[in-house]
Order: sequence, then structure tokens, then C-alpha cells
Amino acid sequence: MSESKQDRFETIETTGGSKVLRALPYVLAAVIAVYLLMGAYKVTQPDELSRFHYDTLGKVPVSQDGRVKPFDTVARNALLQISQKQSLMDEMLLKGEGTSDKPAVIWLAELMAGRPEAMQRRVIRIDDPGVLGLIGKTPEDGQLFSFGEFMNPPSEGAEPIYFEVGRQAERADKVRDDLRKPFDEHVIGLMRKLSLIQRLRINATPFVVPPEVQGDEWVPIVKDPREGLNEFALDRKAGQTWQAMMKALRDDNHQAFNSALQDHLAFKQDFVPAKARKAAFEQGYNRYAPFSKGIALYILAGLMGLLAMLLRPILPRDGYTALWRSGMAVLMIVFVLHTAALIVRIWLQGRPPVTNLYSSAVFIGWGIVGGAIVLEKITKLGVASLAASSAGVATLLVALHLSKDGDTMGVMQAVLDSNFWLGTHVITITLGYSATFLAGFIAICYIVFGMTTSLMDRKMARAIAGMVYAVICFALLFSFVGTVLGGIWADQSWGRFWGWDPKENGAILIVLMNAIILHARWGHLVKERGIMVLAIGGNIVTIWSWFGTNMLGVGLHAYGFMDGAWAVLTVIGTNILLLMSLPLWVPTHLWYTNYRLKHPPLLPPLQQVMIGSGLLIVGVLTTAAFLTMTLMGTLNIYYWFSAWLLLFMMAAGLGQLIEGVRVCWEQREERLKGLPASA
Amino acid sequence: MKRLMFILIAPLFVLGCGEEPTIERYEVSKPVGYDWPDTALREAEVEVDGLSWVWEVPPGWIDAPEVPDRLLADYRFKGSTESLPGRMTVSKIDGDAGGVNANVFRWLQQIYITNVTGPGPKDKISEPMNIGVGEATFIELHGQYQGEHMPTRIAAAIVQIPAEGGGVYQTWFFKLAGDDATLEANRTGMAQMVLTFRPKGVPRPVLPGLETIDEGGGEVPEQATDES
Amino acid sequence: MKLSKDNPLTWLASLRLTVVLLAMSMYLIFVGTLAQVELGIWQVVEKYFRSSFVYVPFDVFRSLLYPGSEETWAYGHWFPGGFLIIGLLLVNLLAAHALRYKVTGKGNMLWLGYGLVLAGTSVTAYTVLEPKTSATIQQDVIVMMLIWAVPMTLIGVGCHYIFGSRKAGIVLIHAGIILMLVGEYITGIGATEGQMWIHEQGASNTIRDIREAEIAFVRDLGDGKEEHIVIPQAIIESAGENDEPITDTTVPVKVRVDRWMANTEKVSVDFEDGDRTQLLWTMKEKDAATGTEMDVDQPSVVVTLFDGEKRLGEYLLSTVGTVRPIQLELDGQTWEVSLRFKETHVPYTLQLVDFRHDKFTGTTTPMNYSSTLHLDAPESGESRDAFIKMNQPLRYDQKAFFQSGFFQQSALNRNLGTVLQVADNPGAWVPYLSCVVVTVGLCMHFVVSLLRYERRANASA
Repeated sequence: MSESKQDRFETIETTGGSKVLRALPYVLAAVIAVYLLMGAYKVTQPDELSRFHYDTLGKVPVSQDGRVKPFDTVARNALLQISQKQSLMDEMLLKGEGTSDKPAVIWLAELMAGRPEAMQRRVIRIDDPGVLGLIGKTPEDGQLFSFGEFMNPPSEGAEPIYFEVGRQAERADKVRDDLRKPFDEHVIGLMRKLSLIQRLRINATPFVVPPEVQGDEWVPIVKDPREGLNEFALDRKAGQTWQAMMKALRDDNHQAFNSALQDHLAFKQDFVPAKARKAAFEQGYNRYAPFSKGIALYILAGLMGLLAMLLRPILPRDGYTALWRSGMAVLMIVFVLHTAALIVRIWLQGRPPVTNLYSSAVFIGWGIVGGAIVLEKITKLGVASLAASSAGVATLLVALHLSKDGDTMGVMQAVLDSNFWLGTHVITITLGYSATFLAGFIAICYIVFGMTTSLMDRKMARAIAGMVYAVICFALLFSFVGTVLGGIWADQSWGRFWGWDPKENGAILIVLMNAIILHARWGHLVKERGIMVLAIGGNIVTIWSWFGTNMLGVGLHAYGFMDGAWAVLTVIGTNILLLMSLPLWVPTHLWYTNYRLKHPPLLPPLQQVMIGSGLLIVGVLTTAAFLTMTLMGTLNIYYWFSAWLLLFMMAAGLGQLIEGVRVCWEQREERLKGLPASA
Repeated sequence: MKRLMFILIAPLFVLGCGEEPTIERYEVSKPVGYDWPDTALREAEVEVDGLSWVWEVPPGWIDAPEVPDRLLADYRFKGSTESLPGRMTVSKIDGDAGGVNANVFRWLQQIYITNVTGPGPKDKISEPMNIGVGEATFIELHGQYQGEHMPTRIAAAIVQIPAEGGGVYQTWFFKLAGDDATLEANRTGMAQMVLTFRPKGVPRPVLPGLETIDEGGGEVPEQATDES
Repeated sequence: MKLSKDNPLTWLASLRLTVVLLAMSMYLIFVGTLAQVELGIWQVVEKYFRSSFVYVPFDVFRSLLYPGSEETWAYGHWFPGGFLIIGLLLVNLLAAHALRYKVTGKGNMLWLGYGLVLAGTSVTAYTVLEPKTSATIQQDVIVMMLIWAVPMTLIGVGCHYIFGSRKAGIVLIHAGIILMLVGEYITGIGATEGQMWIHEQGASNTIRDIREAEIAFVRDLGDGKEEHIVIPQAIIESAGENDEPITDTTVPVKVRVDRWMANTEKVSVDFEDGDRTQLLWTMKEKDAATGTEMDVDQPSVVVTLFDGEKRLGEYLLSTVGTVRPIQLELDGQTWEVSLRFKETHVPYTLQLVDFRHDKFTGTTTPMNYSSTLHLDAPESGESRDAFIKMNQPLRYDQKAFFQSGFFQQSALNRNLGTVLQVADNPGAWVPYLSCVVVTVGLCMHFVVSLLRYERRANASA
């Protein structure tokens, strides 16, 4: 292997080479940018395919859970909480109603107007077999049920199931938290869904009538179901037009509906102009779904980073350069999208970016990607951008999952309501999480590729180690400063700098972990491999303090968590532990990277290609199958205990495949060289 | 200097830790409580649906710092204990508000009487009496008293204002809550408030024995609080 | 000082020991967090973090590995407690500095360095000790942090001349961390925390320590004075365990503790009274509040009181706020007997003029709490209004009063009063100072590293 090939990654070319290849990153960036901008333009345009102007309805500002938001957000959050899905596309599309991003609004409008089909929509999700049994169903009946099935008596003179669910939930609610059975948790959850639907159905929430005097509050059409309609609200224009809309929808009169809707919206635009503008914008933001787009683009960027890293030894210099720069272009564009989405959230909420678990996931992802882009610019290896993309995908998936809990821009508890401390302590500590995660992700790349492929030459290994060290320095800085700021906040808020509560302990654990890594390095107690292993360990500590400590209060006692988040954390933790311990069990000279330094490949090149592609295909297919089945909810979470194995399998497959191809290529070149010139 | 001394002395405390707790005796000053203002009898006015209504507020009653949305008026006055002032609230609902009995049940639950079958032996509900603007029903309810810092009695009047074409136009609630002693001391004041309740402009009813704003003195007529 | 490898001091100063101790502290904090699933936060702090040795039961891992399992696990292991680990870390750090951080400065520059450090230290010490500035520390510590940055920079520059550019920042960082640990130590032994409950339109001069209870006999002496006789929780508990009545002559009656309940809740019992049911109540024992629940133990006690040999009766006393004291007539004196949280009294009163509790529209999520108070200090003649809200405490008499919550009578949904958290911590300012020290150290180290990196890069280019 010639030295020039080894050095190639350090001399990314900006000049020379094929013009087409040089233009490629720009073209790619332009195409993606145009696609994103067109999407943004599209959401500013009304999209009314139905006779009823549901898209306009989605813009209407209403108040729920203490925040003024568009009707669209209310509908999406409610449907998400009830059905755990953001849309009921299939069913709606069959009826030819509306486009893909509006069913939630349609469902809620029909429900609030009291149209009969709203009672028939299968939106209530039930997973627990016990609860299914309670309502007289079996798993064969599916997971989704309609509100009508609860409210209508199953037979003449019989009692609606709703009452029995209510009694069971009331009983379960009295059971102490730590003694509840899964059935209890699920029946309480079901009752919560049903009562949300009920409150929406009678128009008790959201609050649609804005205050007319300074200091007043938004009011609902129905304050107390026992008192009937809220006279006060019906005296107001907003209340009257709302009722007119509902009546028109009930009577299936789209002209009346649209004109009442116009009146209602115009009134609010006139009356609470700032809120109306924000609400309309938020509806656009919802429709745009920046983080779903982000996930797709992060996957693209990650694949390109991976290819850049793997194909480094076999691609010509300008080809590799083009590939690397294209990957960077995609990564940078998606980072801009991520940043823009964060800024929009900051503006909509009027708060610093991190206010709850959901937004912490979004922000941690942003921090990791931002840091990794800088590293990638310096090292040009593809490793950092691979780490960035995987982190981006992972954190956004976590965020999407967390959004099922309700409004992602909900109001803050009084004690947390301090933009100054949210902006300093929370941001710093979250950047500390980001940096620790980034170090861990890069270290995982080092371990996986180092153990299974021959890509990790000394230079690359040293470069990666340098990155991890630098990132851990920043992680220590951010987590330490963040923790101290947190102490100061606590001291300013309730006179206690340090209280040893789980969240504080979690934060100090991250500081200690990073301090251990750095001191171990300074004392020459560990070398590259040790630092990598410890950096991966930082991930466990960070996950613990990010999620684990939150669950301690409720989670460790509650049975319900075993099928949910707790199991996921156990699986992730176990995988990370295995990734930490495998490199310690396997002596370094047996790592494929090091083995190849002294030995020829184990197999002839063609067999390498075949076995490599076999491993890769099996790995990819299995992972894809696991993913699909998990998304469908049919796979036991514990299958994911084998994730590390799949990772190693795919990496090894890729390594063998590429090495085989390269050796074949080199042999061909040799043969060509050996042939007489006349031939 | 105190700080420095502390830092120097602090380590010694470690050695001194674990001292035996002892039974102690000490004297302290009692905190000086709230000084209830000495307000005079006054007339209050609220506007509801374009109509102005007035009533008289007894001496010593002050406006609550903040009147909740659902109430028209909220007064506080000295209770029998420092920690628990008495409270009088005024609210209204359009229509007949479910009638007198429904509201009696509701209030019984507020003072921890569950499983309500009806007023208890000590509770009093008067026959409706005409107070000019409408029919007033006076009610007194006795709740549980088990050494709690909670109001255990409610004295209230439900005033039903008839609508022009028959039926009830509005129902007004005057509700006083407190413990026994507080209620006994303020029953007169409450009655005066209800009996002087009228639309603005309507002359004050002649109520022999009731205090007037200008001159003092007098007792409440028996029928005001008496049940029949 | 040059020491051989085998010298115990070398070992004591080694980074290996640092790493081991840091790892041990991680483990201790981790099990200390897990332990909060079963124990109250204060018990955990005393047992794990403010101790020299701790017995860690394996049971703490049960909630992590088998959540929901009811059987407790046997066995455990001993482990160094927080004080011991921190002490060893301090020794390690000091030894390391003594051995490895050599004075590299020479001549006048060295003396300049010493001078700067001395000057910076003196200025800082002055700000802490001088009454005017120490008042500023209490009132607005953030401003003070900005002021402290100046002497700290002097010290930083001084260290630069003494230890050289590479070590100066690290010396400051370590010094700041030592200061922080010392501050926590002072807090651990010197700080008191309590709560002040004030009814709306009421006043209070009483701070309650909600971690400990006491039986109190209170008698009105007239002239605005009260006599309190208190039996601390430890004595009540031991009297209950040993089955020996409390016969101290200070207490006007003999107290037999029939049953001590560490944490109780009020439960209602139906009482048939003619044709309707009344809700009565009693106290039911429940599990101790754990750290993760953020709850408070509410003890209750059943006592039998004797006047000499005469049995006065059996009484249920409880700290639960709605349980009233019992009245006792003894020799013409009226005593109020109650179980209450340990009280201390301050020579001034806070009167609650108004309490506000706003919620977000249509929710029960609190938006803000605030209390308007009137402060009356007869001793100093001070009489003024004060306003407290979240993140904006009242600082008075070396104490800080924070808005903590409110107590409420739910049935009539009316705010009854405010709960203030009262902190009295002589070491409260130390973390702020150490924060400044560490920040200056970090900045120095960062800048120096950056410059060094640049120099190296330039040299290699």
C-alpha cells in the first residue's frame, strides 16, 4: 500500500480533478435546498381539497393547557395522545377527504361539531390484552377502537362500556403507585384518553373565546358540563361564530361553515393579531414537519459519510473528495434546517430552546451535529459526519417518540419559569450532554471499525483519538459549568446550592466521568483503546442522567414502565456495555485492523467480496426487519439486545467487501501493467 | 468577622456532633396578628348584564384582595381564630340554578357531608320570603367538626328573581362560611346584606331594627334568620 | 522535592489514586441515587454522603434490575462514605500539588507573583469580612461574582509567575474545587433549613424544621408572651421503644408514648349519625417518604397523659396541619398540647398581606406564586413591606426567605396561606466564590492551551 493513499484524506482537493465531480456537492446542495424551500412555500399556501375549509380552521388560535396555539396543534396533539399516530391517513384517504396532513383537524372538527362519523372513527389505541378483555374484545379485533364503541350500549338496555372503564380506572387510581399492575396503568391510561375525547366532544377544551379586557382569560364554550353552555362565551362574537361553524358542520352546510369560519378567524386576527399570526405560523410549522424531513436527510448524510470513510482506499482522489464534500453539503443543509426549526420554536414559545424532555432531545442532537461538523471540517475523515448523522437520527427519533406525551411547547411550572437560568444553566448542561454523546459516538466508530475492518490505519486512529480527547475536554467544561450554574439557580430559588437529588447527582456523574477520562489520560493510565472504552461509557452515564433519573421517581416502582421506556433504556445500556467490554476481551493484535498490518487477508479477494456482501446483506435485512416489526409493534423489544452483533456484522461485511474489491482492483492493475504494451 | 470565626470554628462542630437532645422550656412573643380595619357600614354596587344592584356591607367587613371570576363580590371579616377569617361571597346564575335543594346538597358536600339524603336535624331551611326584589330562602348548614382548621358551617341565602313572563330570571347566592363562632357573630350582618339587596335606584326597604348607613343601632328582625 | 517511586507520598499524589477515588465517588453517588427510591433524601445524605463509611445494601439495585419486585434482597457491602472519599481526594490533590507543581518563577518575577496572589487573596478576604460588602454578598451575589473576578485575575496572573503558564490555570481550577468542597462541608454542618407558614392575614415568627417533630406544651402567659415546653423527637421515639414514660419535671404532665408513627396520612372513616353519614378521620401509618417522591414525613403519635398518677386520657397528636392541638386544664392553667415540626422562633414577625397564586388558563399548572409581606422587627424598630416571589427571595437577618408553596383548603378552593422556605447558610457564598475561581482558572488554561497549540502549529508549518 503506497503512502500517498494513506495520506489522501488529509489532502482533500479543492482544485483540479473532474469538473463534474467538483460541481456535484453544489448541485446536490442546491437540489435539497430547493426541495426544502418549496416545501416551506407550500405550507404558506392554503390547501383546501375538501368543501369544508379545514386548512383555514387549522390556523385558528385557541387556548389549551395555558397556551394559545393553532387548532391544528390541538388536533394533532390530541390525536397523537389518543391513537399514538400523527394521522389517520389511511382511513381518511379512502373516503377521499383532505390531504395527508389534515386528518387530525378533520377528526377534531367533526368531534366538536358532534357529527355522527366522529363517534365511528377508530382512533383509541389499546394494547393491553387485559383492557381489551375488559371491553369485550380480543387482540384479533385490532388495536384501534372508536369512541362510539364505548358510549353506545353493546345491547339493548345494557350499560355503555364507558362506565365500567370509569369504575376500573377509579379503583386503579386508588391503588398506590408502586402496587399497580400493568392492567391498572393501562386502564387509567384508557380512561384518560376517553375523558379527553369527552371534554373535546362537549367543547370544554380548547378554549375558543379570547379575552376582551386586559387581564381576562380565554374561556371555553362549555365551562362545566353540568351547567351547559357558557353564556358568557356565547355573548361574545368569537363564541357565536364558533357555534355557527359547529352548527354548519353538523348540518353538512359547507358554505355556512366557511363563511362562519371566515368571520371567526377575521375576528381573532383583528382582536388578538399577534396570537393569530403566531398560530398561523405554527400551523405551517406543523405541516412542514421539519424534524421528519431532518431524519431523512440525516440518514442520507450519514450514508455519504460512511461511504466516504469506507471508499477512501479505493476511490480516486477527486472522486473521494466529491463524495466527502457532497456528504458535508447534505449535513450542513440539514443542520441549517435543524437550526431554523429550533429558532422557530424559540420564537413561537418565547423561551430558550430547552424547556422539556422533547426539546432537550432536539437540542442535544443539534449540539452533537454542530460539534461534529466542526470536527469533520478539521479531520475530513467521514467519521465525525457518520457520528453526527447517527446522533441526529437517534435524537430526532427520541424526540418524535417523546412528542406522544402531548404539547411539545407546553407551559413551564412556576419554579422553572426563568428564561435567564433556562438560557444559561439548561443550555450549558445540555451542551455537556451533547459533547459527551459525541465523544461516545465517535469512540463507537473507532471500536467497531477498528475491530472489524482494515480501514483504521495508525494515522486515522490517532486522528480519531485526538477528536475524542478534544470533545471530552469540552464535555468536561460544559458539564462542570452547567452543573455549577444549576447549583447557583437552586441556591437563588430555594437557598440550597446542592441537594443530592437524582437529577443533580446525574449531572455530577457526567462531570466525574469526563474528569476520570482526562485524568486517566494525563496520568498515562490508559491508551487509545482505554480512552475509547471510557468515552463509550460516558454515553451510559449521560443516558442515565438524561432519562434514568427522571424515571427513578415513578418508573422504578411502576410496572407499566417495563414494557416501555425502561425496557428501551435497559436494551440500550446493555448494548453500550457490550460495546465497552468487547474491545477489552479481544486482544488488540487480534483486531482486524492490527491483524492486517502484519498479515495478508484471511481469504482470497473474491471470497472476501462474497462473504462480505453476504454478511452485509444479512445484517441490513435483519436490521430492516427488526425496525419494521418494532414500528408495527410486533417485535419484542428484547430482540434489540443483539443490536451490537448486527452492528459488528454489517461493519465486518462492509470491511471485507471493500477490501476484496480493492485487492481485486489492484491485482487487475498489476496484470494490466504486466501485459506487453503492444497488447 | 462572624463569617471568619465560623469557618475557623466549623471543624470543631464535627467533634461536637451527636449531642443529646433535651427537653426544653422557653418563652417567646406571640406574633402580632392582622389588624382588622374598622370599616363602617357601606353600600356596595355591582353591575350585571347592564343592571346595577346594590346591598349594604356590614361594618368590619373588607373586600377580599382579589375577587375570583365566578364571584360578584367576596368579603372577609375577623374570624373566631386568627388563622381563619370568615368569608362572605356573592354570585349569581341565570335561571333557577336547579332550585334550592340542589344547592343545599352541593353545599353539604363542601362541608364534608357525604352520602347526602337531605338536610340534617340541625340544619335550617326557611320558607321563601319576599324581600322585594324576589323570593329569598335562608339556609344554615352544619358540617363536620373534628378539630379541623376548616369552615364547618354555611349560612346562606338564595334569592330568586322572577322573570317577567313567569319562571326565574336569575338566582343569586349570598354565602357565608366559617366556624360556629364566626357564623354566630356575623349572622346579623349577613341578613342585613341580603335584606338590603335591590336594584340601584329602588328605595331602601324599611327594615325596623336594622342599622342604617347614617345612624347606628338595632337588631335584626327575628324572621330574617328564623326558620319556620 | 524528588521522591522515589516506592515512596508512599508518590503513591498518595498519583493520578492513579485520583482516578480510583473519582470512580469510587461515582459509584457512591450512583448508589446514593438509587437508595432514594426507598429512603428519604435526608437519610440518604446523612448515610451516604455525610459519613465516613456506609453499608450499601445490595437491595438498592433491586429497583434498577427488577423494578416492581417486592422481595428485599439480603447482604450488602461496606464502602467509603462521602466525607472519607472527599477527604482522600483533598489529600491526593494537595500531595500532587506539593510534589508535582513546582515553583518555576525566579527572582523579581517570582516575588511579583507572590505579591499578586497575596493582594488578590487579601482583597477577596476583605470583601467577605467587611460588613458592607458582605451585605452585598447576601443581597446580590451575582454582582459580587463580577467584583471577585478582579482579585481572582490578580491571583491568576500571580500563579502564572509562580507556577508557569502551563500549571497556573490548573492550580486555580483545583483551588476552586477545594473551595467548593469546603463550602459544602460548611453547609453540611452549619446550615439550617426550615419553613414558615403564614395564614392569609395572619403573622408568624416561627420557622419549622420539617425533618424533625416535637411534642409541644404551649401556655399563654399574657402580655403577648407564650411559654413553650418541647419534647424532641429522639426522646419521644426512645420513650416509645423502651416503653418508659417521660417524667421530666419540666413537662407539666407525665407522658406515656403508646405508639409512634413516623409517617402517617389522614384517612376518613364514615360515621353514621342518624340518617346521614359524616366523614370523620383518623391517622393511618404509611411508608416513609422517599427521596424520589419529594415528600415530607408526617409523623403522628398516640400518647397517654397522666397528672401525677391520675390518667388524663389518651390522645392522638399529629403534625398534619389540619389536626388541632388538644386543650389541657392543669392547676388552673390552660395548655395546648400538639405534635408539631420542630420550631424555632425569630425576634421579628412576617405578616402575610396578600398571597397570589396564578395558574395558566384552564390548567392546574401554577404560573407564579407571590407573597406580599409586612416585616415587623420590634428590636430594631424596623417595619416595612416585602415582596417575595419565585426566584426572588427576601433576605433578612442572615436568612433567605423563598416562596416555596402555599397551603389551601380545597373544599372552598381558597388560598389560605403561603409557605416560605427559610434557609440560613453561613457558607452560602462559598460556591459562588469558588465558581469565580474555577472560571478564571478554566479561562487561563484554555487561552494558554490555545496559544501553545497555535505556536506548535506555526512551528510545524
